[in-house]
Amino acid sequence: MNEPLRIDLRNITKRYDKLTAVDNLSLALGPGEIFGFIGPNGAGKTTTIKILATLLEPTSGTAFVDGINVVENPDAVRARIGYMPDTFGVYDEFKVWEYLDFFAAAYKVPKGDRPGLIDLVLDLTNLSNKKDAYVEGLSRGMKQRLCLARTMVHNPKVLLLDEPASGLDPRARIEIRDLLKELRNLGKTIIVSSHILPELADFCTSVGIIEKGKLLVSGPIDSLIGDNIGARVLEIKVPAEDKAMASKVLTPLKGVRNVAERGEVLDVQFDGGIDAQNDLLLALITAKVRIVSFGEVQTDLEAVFMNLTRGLVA
Amino acid sequence: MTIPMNPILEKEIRTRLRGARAFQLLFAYVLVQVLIMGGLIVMRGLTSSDMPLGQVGQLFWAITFWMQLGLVTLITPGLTSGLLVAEREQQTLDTILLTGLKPADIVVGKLCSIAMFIVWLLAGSLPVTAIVFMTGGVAPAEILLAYVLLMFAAMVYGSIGIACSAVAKSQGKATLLAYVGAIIVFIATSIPAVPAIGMVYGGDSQVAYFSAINPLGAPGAAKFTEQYFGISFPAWLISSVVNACITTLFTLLASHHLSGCQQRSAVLLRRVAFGMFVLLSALLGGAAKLSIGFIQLFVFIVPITLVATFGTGVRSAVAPQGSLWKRLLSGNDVVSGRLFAVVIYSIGAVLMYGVHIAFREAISYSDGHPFEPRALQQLLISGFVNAVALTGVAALTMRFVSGRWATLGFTIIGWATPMFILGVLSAFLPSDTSTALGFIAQTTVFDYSIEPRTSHWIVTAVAGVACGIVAKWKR
Repeated sequence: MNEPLRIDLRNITKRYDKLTAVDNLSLALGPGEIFGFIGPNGAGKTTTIKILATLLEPTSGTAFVDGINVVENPDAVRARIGYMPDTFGVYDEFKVWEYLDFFAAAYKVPKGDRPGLIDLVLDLTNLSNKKDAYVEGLSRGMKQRLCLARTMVHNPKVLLLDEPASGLDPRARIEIRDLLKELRNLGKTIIVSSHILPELADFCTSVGIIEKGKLLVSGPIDSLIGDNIGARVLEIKVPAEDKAMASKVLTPLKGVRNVAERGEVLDVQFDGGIDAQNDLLLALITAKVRIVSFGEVQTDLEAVFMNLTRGLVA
Repeated sequence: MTIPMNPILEKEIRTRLRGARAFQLLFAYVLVQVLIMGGLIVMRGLTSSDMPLGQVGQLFWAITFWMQLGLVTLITPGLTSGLLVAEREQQTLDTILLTGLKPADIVVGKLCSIAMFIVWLLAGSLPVTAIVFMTGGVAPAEILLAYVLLMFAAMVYGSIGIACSAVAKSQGKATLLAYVGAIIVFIATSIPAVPAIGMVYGGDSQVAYFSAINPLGAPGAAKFTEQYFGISFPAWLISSVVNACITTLFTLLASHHLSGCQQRSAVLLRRVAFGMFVLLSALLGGAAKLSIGFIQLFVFIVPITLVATFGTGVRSAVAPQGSLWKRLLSGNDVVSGRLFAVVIYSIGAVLMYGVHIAFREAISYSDGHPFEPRALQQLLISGFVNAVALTGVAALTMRFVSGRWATLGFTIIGWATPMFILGVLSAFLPSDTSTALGFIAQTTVFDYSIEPRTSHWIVTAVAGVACGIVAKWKR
């Protein structure tokens, strides 16, 4: 693979007087990847994205976009990225197409190419019917989409989207999500940040959880859940009189970390594989424990997040 | 990037003329003029006086034009001061900068849009001005020339406004700063315009330099010539060049602040400022009447050079007293402001003298102003003495305070101490030296017409050295 990594962060640190906003963060993304950047407010997501967008210089470490150093050659990087800030302004007195035309011109897109390009991004963002409307009159969701359309007028390889779905109603959120999926199919590398997890879970190819400037974990979602939740939780419902027996059987078994009573059910933290799980069930039945129900609690990104950031979040 | 292709310009024009606001402004602009002109005609009965009609026309033209000048001076800072700070407040600045548009593109684009808007206003009010053609006495070329001068001046106010807009954190502050700046420049530039204003009322031709940098002098400027190096230049040309220089400086200052005050653009700005300063000082050195040329240098060229230099916002790292000179040479520490100003004033004055002397023999000046070699001598000694005194005061001030307080402290103490010391000492000196001793010590650098005494210099130098010694000793 000769193509350079689209995004390559190496040991990025950004310090303000006393505060360390980003601490020794490394990240590598190839074409077609969507990276979900998750973390509570103030964790360092925006700072990291701004460093990639050439708006901030890192205190130490190097960052590359498409193989180009962001500090040494910001102009070349700027031509390759589309950046959508978390808070942004639009020119209210513009019409939608004029707004896009202005940015296309600013990106030095030749005048002849602009109308076609504007139609294309409007189509992509579902704003074609608003082409001649004033920006002022658009809803928040539409403005957000317009801003996204704006980040694409120069056909960048990398999109940096800082909280693109914040403040939107569920419907608008889904629209943004679909749009991002479409962009992924176009081969763009996208970093999208959010403090809300489910928003990202189903279309990101990988996610990273950042907390107090440190990237706690990152990787594909499945492996994250497997690796980091540690134990899965088995929910076993048994009659009250069998509870003591069940606990006695379960506790010494391999892979069982903890058994907790919760009303009628036992929550068993378990880090064994499927075979071990079978053995566990068999052991219970052999011990004549009457089982009402047996199941695995669905763990998701949210659980990973809560697990990892427990106690850290102020 | 060529200006007509500038997307910022296109955007500004597109949105500025959208809706009723621009046209309401034009209407108000013309209305004010019509009312004032109408009022004048009715009340003064201008046309019924026994003045020759041509002269009435000239007076009429001057009043119309001054009215335009007043309106443009009032409108321009207001139009420009919001331009950049608004982008910042709307959070659109980052996105524009990320498109690869350079800060200079943004500033120039915005300034050009304002220029076009003012041309539009002026064109819209032409019918009012055209009254002049009914009385006669004014050539169309004169009117055109005056408008050109007005545009240059408008660009000066506009660039000041846009520089304030780049520096200020809020709209209100930007507007206030822009108006204060514009008023100061208006007043400072009106001094050299006085002879040209006199011409409007049929006064005699006088020696003047930069007489139309304030368009107050524009109605008379068409007939005016200024002599440099024995050559006559049209006044409007010189003034246009000077105003273009100032506009360039403030435009650079604005784009410097827009790019986040980087070292590189600070260096560029200082070089351009210094280059213009040298150029204009040298030009004034070729003036026949040096004392009038000095006024321009002092009230005008040097202050603007200083604003451009200190306005870069790039401070050298806080250095120990030992490297004071290094800081002074870098010319960017506000603490060294006063001393730097003295150095710049001295350089300007010496430069003017130098050029003057060099060309004195070669060119026959028309007015034969006497040449005083002693003046140069005095100037050099005074400059040196002042430099010593101020270095000492600077060292002493920085011994006790640092950072922001040093700036304030030095500004106050730096100005006041030598005067205070000399004032106290003057009580013990012979009475003829005691009068305004401190004042003279401060001003001998500039004003060679006041004859300084050796005792002044000694006292000033000793005071400065004493301050320096105390600063070292307190360490």
